[in-house]
Amino acid sequence: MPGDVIALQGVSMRYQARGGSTLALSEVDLQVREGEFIAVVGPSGCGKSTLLKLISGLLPATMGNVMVGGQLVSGPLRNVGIVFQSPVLMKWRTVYENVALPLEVLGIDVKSRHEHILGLLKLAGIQDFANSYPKELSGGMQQRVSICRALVHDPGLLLLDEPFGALDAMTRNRMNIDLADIWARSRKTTILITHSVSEAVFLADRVVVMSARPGRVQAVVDVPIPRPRTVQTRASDDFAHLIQQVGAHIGFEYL
Amino acid sequence: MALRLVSSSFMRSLGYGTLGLSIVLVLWELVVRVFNISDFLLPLPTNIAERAFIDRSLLLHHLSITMIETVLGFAAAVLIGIVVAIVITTSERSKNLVMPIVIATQLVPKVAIAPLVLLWFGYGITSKVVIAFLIAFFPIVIDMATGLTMVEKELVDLLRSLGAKRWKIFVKAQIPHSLPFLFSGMRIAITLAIIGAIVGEFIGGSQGVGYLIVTSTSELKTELVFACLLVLTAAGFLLFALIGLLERIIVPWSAAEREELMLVTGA
Repeated sequence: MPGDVIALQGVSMRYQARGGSTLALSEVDLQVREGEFIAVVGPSGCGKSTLLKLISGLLPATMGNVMVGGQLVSGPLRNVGIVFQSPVLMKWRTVYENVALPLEVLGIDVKSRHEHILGLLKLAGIQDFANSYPKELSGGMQQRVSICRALVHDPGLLLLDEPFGALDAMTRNRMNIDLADIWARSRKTTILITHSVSEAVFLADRVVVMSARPGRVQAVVDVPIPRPRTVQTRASDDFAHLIQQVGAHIGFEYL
Repeated sequence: MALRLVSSSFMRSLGYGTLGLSIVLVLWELVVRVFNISDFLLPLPTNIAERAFIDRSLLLHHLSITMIETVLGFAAAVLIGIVVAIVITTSERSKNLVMPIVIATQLVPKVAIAPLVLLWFGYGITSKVVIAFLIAFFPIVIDMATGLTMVEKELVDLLRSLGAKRWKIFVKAQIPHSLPFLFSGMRIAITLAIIGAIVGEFIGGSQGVGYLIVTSTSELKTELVFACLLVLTAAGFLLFALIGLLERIIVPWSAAEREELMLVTGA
């Protein structure tokens, strides 16, 4: 389908382990349009993280096709930025050097991107920590570094794997607002994996609800809340209504 | 991050350490005097210090031999240990191939094979270097291999997603990550290397502190034996401190972390 930057067709993933195999994903179909923000929610073990590994080319699917940018994914894409639940920063590098890492790996001259890196740090509100080491920063700040690192090489695709899952509720809400802001400036095609329905509704254009193992797409909920989304968004009736709607698909016991 | 080579906590621990040692020495002196212990069995600390001063050139000569053996054996253990650690972490196959050999060399008691080593390498310095190497090698391999393999899986995924191949992951992530581990291995290895050198000198040879201890004991020069132990301990402290200094220069991020950890545990 034209305009779809990501297309999954009948994708299944089976992990082989000692004592048998596990079906993590079962016949998943998903289309993501260029510049779209998709959130994927579902109970633990529904294969959400596996989905990201398939899309980024880190894992080959057992069955089905994963297409990104019209190409069949057969290996690491390079053109992606990934943020994990833990910041996974190199503790021997400063914040600046951590952010520059993808440039180094891709063979891009770091010096020529100096202003760009500083701009990103400023955008994330961590410009004063450029020369600090990760351990001198709080968990939220470290995750901001991780987000800068995911954006520094201007990837076509941003994959966020429960990026705020390890943060406290207040920091998390703050990070949601800042991420909405950062995203609005770049409008990168983004897939966010999360356990939080409110986070999903607040950030995404569409929320994909997955079922428990094996993971299947159970429902896709459109989020027609206008942007920019701000603190007021959370207080709106639309917001509360959409959370109810997504919650109904997941099962309210998970909310 | 400011690089402080000598921290205030280090100075504090040095102060307390000196105090603790002084208490032991004073008690020692008292016990020997009160119970009138023969100086063949346990000489007075003051007499040992005096002996060490009188025989300083003799002690320094033998100490320098022992230190050369220790440092050479240690250096060989570090170099070869790093290479072996890299080999066993590159693939499951090479690990299965090499690891049993490494463990076997470790399970054989070094003291038991030391006479053989002397038989093969002669009674000079070489055999002592080999024994020091054999005994210091294991912790380097194990700690370095641990550091190389314990890189966070997500970090490897991140690098791979950018198209990094094994070599790049090795250089950018595994090597820097393993350095603090290497230094913990080196701390243990240096003390073991000294033991290795001394064991070698015990068994055969005509030089080194180990040799001096054996001959002095047989001649009932107990004061000199203790003077040997004194210089040996001092030299060991020095080598240990040198590695700490090197660690602060090469892996400052980890040295600072270790310091914090020590504050938490109150060590």
